Amino acid sequence: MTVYLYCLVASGHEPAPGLTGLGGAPVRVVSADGVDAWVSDLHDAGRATVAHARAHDAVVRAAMAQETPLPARFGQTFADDGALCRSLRERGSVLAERLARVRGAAEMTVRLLVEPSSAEALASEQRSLSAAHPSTGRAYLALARARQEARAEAARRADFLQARLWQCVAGVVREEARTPLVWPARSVTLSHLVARDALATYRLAVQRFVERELRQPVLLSGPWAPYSFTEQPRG
Amino acid sequence: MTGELESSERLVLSELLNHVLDKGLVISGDVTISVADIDLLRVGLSVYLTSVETVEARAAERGESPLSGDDRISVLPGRERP
Amino acid sequence: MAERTPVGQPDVEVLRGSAAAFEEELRSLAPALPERINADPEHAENGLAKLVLTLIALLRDVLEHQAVRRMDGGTLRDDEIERLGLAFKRLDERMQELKAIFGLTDEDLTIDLGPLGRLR
Repeated sequence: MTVYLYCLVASGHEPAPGLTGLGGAPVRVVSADGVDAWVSDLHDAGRATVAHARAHDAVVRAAMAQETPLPARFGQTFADDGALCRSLRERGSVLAERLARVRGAAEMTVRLLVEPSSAEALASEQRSLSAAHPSTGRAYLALARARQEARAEAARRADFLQARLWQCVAGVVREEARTPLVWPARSVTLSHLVARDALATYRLAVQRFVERELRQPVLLSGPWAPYSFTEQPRG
Repeated sequence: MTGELESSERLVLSELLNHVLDKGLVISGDVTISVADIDLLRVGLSVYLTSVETVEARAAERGESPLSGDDRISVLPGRERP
Repeated sequence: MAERTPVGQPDVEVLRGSAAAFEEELRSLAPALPERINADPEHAENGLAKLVLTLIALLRDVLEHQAVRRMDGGTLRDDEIERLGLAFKRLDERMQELKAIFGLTDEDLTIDLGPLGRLR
């Protein structure tokens, strides 16, 4: 049996009676140094299934109903409560700081698909690299250069879109995180930490940005628990 | 696994998986690599994380700017940092 | 407790473009469910193959980048450029074969190091 971790919550909040997590196990609290971990006991090997991923988020969301938690990544188990407590104590003050940082906020996620024309260009670049079978060494290196340039171009485009969106939402966003581009990059993902009472204003700002300035396809999702804001801010 | 869901439900599920599986706090900091159901390698990231945080705290105490994320991983190509 | 504006189920809203395009993109972005708790002996060796191929691809990227820089910088003779390029080409062909054998795509050749981000 192992202890499965859902999220960390500032102490003083209890899971509602009857709240269950993976495998229907009751959610309970393990406290360490002013931080509460919401956990449940896991009896089997903890198969990673869609149902379990949903159950994980449901518990995080239940915490969210009381106070914004630091959501844990799916799939972390500990041998027992003591092992979890030791891990938490090692990082005690850092975790308290991060909880304070997300307090009263939620995460919104914006995904921008790169312009179709560029995406096609990138895709054909990829295809030509693998299918062209360049006959000489020099030709191969030229294709390698094209691939490197396509990557750099994708990064530049991502920077540009990020900066433009930021100008429109900066007033209502506490913090921004960008998911690293995964090659072959077709989309830019930006996550925003937004005060819960400013969510409607944020939505309007994004919609205005899309209407006025953007031709790319855009997906807006949230509010989520602050999954993208659990680590030290980068850069 | 998503065959019977409406398009909008599939989108919600995909977004959920992208958040729950790819993001969120990593406390245990272990990556276990298994072969044929047998755990072979356990890479302890928590040790590294602790040391980075300690380094940053000490740098801050000395009034230096802590390492940025970029400094730590700039040897890795092909990935873009904010 | 004024700040606890309730947060309901998340909305996922396509502000522009088609839902289908985003479904496809999200599928390719979503990491596979973690292998260690989804141990399928039939595919178990893929985890190791993925690790090894990702590391090779990472090295290949670094070295290719250097090779292109040297080529563009004009510090390589023609025969050196040819030798280097052919070596990378052969490596690429081998990697294509291995990826096919293990059922991996280019997008699989990344390892998530949690808070450290992605390797490659």
